[in-house]
This record gives sequence, structure tokens and C-alpha cells, in this order.
Amino acid sequence: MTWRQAPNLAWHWFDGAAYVVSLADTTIVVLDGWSGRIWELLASGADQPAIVATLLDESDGLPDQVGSDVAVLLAGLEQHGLVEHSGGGVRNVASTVHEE
Amino acid sequence: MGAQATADVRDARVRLAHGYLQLLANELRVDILHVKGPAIDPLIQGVAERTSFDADILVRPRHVERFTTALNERGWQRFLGFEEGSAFGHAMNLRDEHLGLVDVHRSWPGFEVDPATAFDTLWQSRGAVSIAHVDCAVPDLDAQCLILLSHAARSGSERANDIAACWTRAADDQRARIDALAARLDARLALAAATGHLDDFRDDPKYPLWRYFADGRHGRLAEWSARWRAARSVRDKLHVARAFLVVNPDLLQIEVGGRPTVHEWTHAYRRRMSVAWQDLALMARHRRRR
Repeated sequence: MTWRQAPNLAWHWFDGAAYVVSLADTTIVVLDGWSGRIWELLASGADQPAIVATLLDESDGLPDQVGSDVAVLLAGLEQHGLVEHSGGGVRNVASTVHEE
Repeated sequence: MGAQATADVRDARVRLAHGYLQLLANELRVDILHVKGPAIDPLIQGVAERTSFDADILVRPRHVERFTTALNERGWQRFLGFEEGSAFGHAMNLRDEHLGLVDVHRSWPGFEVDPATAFDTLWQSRGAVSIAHVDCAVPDLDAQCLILLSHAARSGSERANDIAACWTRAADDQRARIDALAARLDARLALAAATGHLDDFRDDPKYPLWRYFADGRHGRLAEWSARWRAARSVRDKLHVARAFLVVNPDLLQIEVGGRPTVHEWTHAYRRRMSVAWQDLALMARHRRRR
């Protein structure tokens, strides 16, 4: 699935984390660790499989586990209104990664 | 948290505030220009890297009410109103619990053309800079310099770096452009105050006020005296007199930490009148001595 950062967000990368605020809510959301890395990859235009592939390269995780973690984190970001779908088919990322 | 870490967090928050303000302006179709802090062009050496405490924006005057109302509706609290903040009545301070303080300017002190014309002039030559990944409108380099110089002129010796960056170290052609812009904005008095030529404007009615700021003098009496002499019309003088006598509701609210009671209002007025009488008596004594 292809995701992108939601519109109407301001964000600043600082000390290894993304600090994000939306027009709808001035609460500052701090994305660190994998959330921050996913945010950074989304900003560079990476889609979900590419994000999973990158995190697999950068970690010792197993493909299914990383794929599932990324899916959970993206769902969390969507719940906070920070990301949205940008088209593309719905795919089981874990299995996609596995196939690759 | 160390001092540097605190400054970095503050800087991140100010950047987010700038981004947020631009997003809101886009939604409301309000024209704003980001000034100072992270909006400063990196070419202005020695200034850009300095940390800001709040986000400063200049708003097209006819859009100010719409913009500040929208901020209020989104939970931003008025900290100081336009009339209460400074001798120039130019900015409203608002505060958000997460993003901190913003200064919403409806005019820029020192630009004596009417604020709408000043904004138009700056808007026509604007550029854009990305702050917190939001494209923010900023004045061009020369206008940024004039803004920083006129701000430095009000800050005594505190902003010597800004004067060095924008004037002392500037090339001759850039100085000429800044001077020409100052002429268009009727800001030559403010520019002179920043660049050490204030006495060329001794006959200007606003000279005493800029002299007061340029000298870095502090004290109620000197400030009120300068504000009174700078006020040109009867209306302006009445305005200064009112500000001299009336208790500032925003400041009182800050002082008592909430909505003031009748008793607190009464006490504040008694204190104000007492101080005002003392100031007036002192002023009369000074005059007699002269």
C-alpha cells in the first residue's frame, strides 16, 4: 500500500526524532525510533514495501515481523491523522516482503 | 536538560509554530510574512543561527482580525493586546500551551507609511523559505535587513550583531538598496537610529522616542515623556494619556494569575494613580529645573 504524509502538517527533525504538529491539533507528536525512521522514509517518497525493505536492511528483524510492525505503526500514524493513503492496491506487506 | 538542549527544543518549537501559522494562513487565505528567527536568510551572517523565543509574523493589516480570531478559536490565548504591548502598539502576543508564544504584528515599528502600504511593499518582493517543511512567505533580503535594523534600533546595544550583519558588513550597493527601501517605507528615522545617524533627524517629532530606545535608557518617566512628545495628533496624545492612566487588563491578569477580582482592579487603579501622580510631579520638577 502507498502512504504519504497527511496535508496540513508542520514537522521538524531534531535529535533523532520527528516533531510533528497538525493544523487540527497543536499537540506535538514525537516520532522516534522506528516511527521516526518510517516518517523519514515516507518523506523521501518510499512506499510500504520499500520501508519494510529498508528497515530489514537496517535491523536484525525477520521479514514477517518487520512487515507486521510497519503495518501497525502506519495504522497508528493514520489514526493520529499524520498519514493517509495515496492510492495503490492494498497488499499484504509481510508476504510481499517474504516473496521478495 | 542543558542550556544548549533547552535552546534546541525551543528552536524546534518556534519552527513548528511558524509552520503552523503558515498552514492556518493558507487555510484562511490570509497573507502573512515570517520575520526574524528561522525566517532570516542564512546570508545574513551571525543572525540566522541565533535561537528565537517566539515566532514573529507580519500580517496584512486587513487580515489581522480574521487571523487572530481564528487563533483564539483554536485555543490560542491572548497574552498582550496590540495597545498594551509596546509604545508602538504594533503586535499582539498569543500563547499556545504546546507551541508557545507568537507575535502577530499588524505594523512594523519605524515604518511610518501606512501599514497596508508597508505590507504591500514587502509582499511584492517576497520570497519563500521552508520552515518545519512548510513553505513560508518571507520578505526579501534587503527588507529583512531593514526589519532587523529597525528592531535593533529599539533594542539599545543588545542587537549589535544584527547591525553588523545588516549594515556595517554590508556591501555599498546593499546599503544603498536598504536606504532606498527605507525611503519608500518612510523608515529613514529608524534606520538612522540603528546606524548612528539619529541626530540628523533631531527635528522629527518621533526623534525623542527613538533617542530613548537608541540610548537604551530605562525608566517610566523617560519613556512616557518620549511617547508624549512623539504623539503628533490630539488623538495620539489622548491615546498616550489613556495608556499612562489606565490599568492594562492583560498585564494585570498575568500579575494576579487569572481573571482579576474587583478588589484587585481597585488596588491596581489606586497603585496606578499613585505612580502616575509621582511621575507627573517628577516631570514638573524636571521642567522647573530646566
